[in-house]
Amino acid sequence: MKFRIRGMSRAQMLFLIIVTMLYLLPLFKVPILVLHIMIYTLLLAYAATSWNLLGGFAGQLSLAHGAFLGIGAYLAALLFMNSNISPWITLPLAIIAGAGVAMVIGYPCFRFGLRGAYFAIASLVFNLILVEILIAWREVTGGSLGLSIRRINDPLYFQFATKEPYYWIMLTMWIIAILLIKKAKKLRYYLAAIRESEEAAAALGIPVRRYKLVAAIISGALTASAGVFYAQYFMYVNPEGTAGVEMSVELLLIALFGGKFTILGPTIGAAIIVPLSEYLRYTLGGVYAGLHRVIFSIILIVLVLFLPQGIWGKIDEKWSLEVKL
Amino acid sequence: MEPGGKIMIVLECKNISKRFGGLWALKQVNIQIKEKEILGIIGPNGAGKTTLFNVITGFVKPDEGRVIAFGKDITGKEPYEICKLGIARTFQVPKPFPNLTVLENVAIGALIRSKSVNEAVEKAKEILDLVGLSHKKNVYGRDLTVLEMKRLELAKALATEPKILLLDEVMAGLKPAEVDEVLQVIKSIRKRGITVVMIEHVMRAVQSVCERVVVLDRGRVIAEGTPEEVSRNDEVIKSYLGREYRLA
Repeated sequence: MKFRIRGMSRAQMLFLIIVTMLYLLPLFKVPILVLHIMIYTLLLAYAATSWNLLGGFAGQLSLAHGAFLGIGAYLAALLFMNSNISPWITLPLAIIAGAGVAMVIGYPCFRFGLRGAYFAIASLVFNLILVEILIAWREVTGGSLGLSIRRINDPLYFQFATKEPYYWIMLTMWIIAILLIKKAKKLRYYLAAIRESEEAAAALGIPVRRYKLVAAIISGALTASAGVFYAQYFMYVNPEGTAGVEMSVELLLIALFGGKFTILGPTIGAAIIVPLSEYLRYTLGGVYAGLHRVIFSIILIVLVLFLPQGIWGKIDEKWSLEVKL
Repeated sequence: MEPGGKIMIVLECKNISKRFGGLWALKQVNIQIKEKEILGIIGPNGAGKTTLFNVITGFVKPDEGRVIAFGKDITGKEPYEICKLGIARTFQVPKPFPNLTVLENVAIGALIRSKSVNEAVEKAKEILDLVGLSHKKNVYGRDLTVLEMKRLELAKALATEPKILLLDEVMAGLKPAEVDEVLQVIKSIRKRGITVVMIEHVMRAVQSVCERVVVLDRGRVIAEGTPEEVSRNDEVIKSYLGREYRLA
């Protein structure tokens, strides 16, 4: 590249160019299906990036992030339907709720030293409990049928008649998350040390429990905000689809596929998996319902065996794209 | 040394006892460590040497006794708090961060006393020069040889800018020439004013750098003195050094 803005690395220039292109994209006549897939990709990229803070950087494999997404989504839907509160107001509330729940779940787990598979199981159980509550508490949550959000197409209520505003909002949220994580360099290294060896990290003066909790809180808060968007975009929430374990697994799969040690890995994972999954669902769904899940399971097994650091992780390792220390 | 010329005790173990099941790993251990000295801790396998380090650095809570550092009672504090106070350790079985580079490994050690990651990196580079690991700085922790991992352990501990450094068998398995290299590093560490406590089986190393040696056997201190005094002690010869050592 010939011209360069002073003080910017090549990677930063590239990021700026791609982001600008992404912002301008809807100005060209993009088919509505493509725009939809892009929005959903960005949403899952955002949520998987949030997952990755706890699951990837800090190495605490969470299977509860469907629940965090669900908390944000249900909060937005319920407050709007029952109290006519704008989801714009719910957005900060969801962030607080996500952080609070993460703290309540995370503290005892880390205090009593649940590691590895034990933490994964504890988080999974939390998610299952939340789904059961959403199903059982029918008068409020609409039970297993879920809730449809009344459409009023009012931007003040986070509702738009076209897809473009959703796209720009989600793109902005995603950029904010990436920049936040990029900026928190010291935190990333603390978390990496904890992931690699808790004893060695503690011996180097890192308060292991505190930083695991910090990771859980930020991760839970961001994922809950993704839930608010989810509710406003689909105008419908239900226990299994929005808050279920399947969502948890999908976020985990996306992050692992892209590269769990990198900032952009989950985004690359989402950019590959979401369109592919939508395509397979569309082409196979009618005849072989559920076959796309089998295909993804196989991809996951192959990945774990041959590319444990993920696609972006491999590229990054080879070319040092994300400038490290 | 304190202004009055009195020798200052920077670390003191008072009556430390630790039991694992029916076994006393440490039994009423009293050790005083003087400022800027190099103290060797020797003894047969299972004597409680590593357990003593674990107690001092907060990884294991003692059943009895106190650990006093810089005049403060640090018994029962968390490992990270003890590191922040200025006591760093290495692990006998190296614990590198496998998916991070050598430079990153060491920089993380420097982070707690650095304002930014960049500052930590600069400190890490210096320390890698000191321990002779600069040429491996972009290698992942998982790809190092065991000997390189031992050096990395040393570099990480040094990066935390300790006042007291606890070294757990950093020379085990090294060739004589490599032992000499590490001894040079330890001497230069002491020149920086750092107090060193080293667990070591390599007697040649102990004799060449340690001013004082404490001998542990089955959780008890059985002898204490200069390396020469200790190596002439009958009980030490019987329990640890062996008969042929006297001849040599």
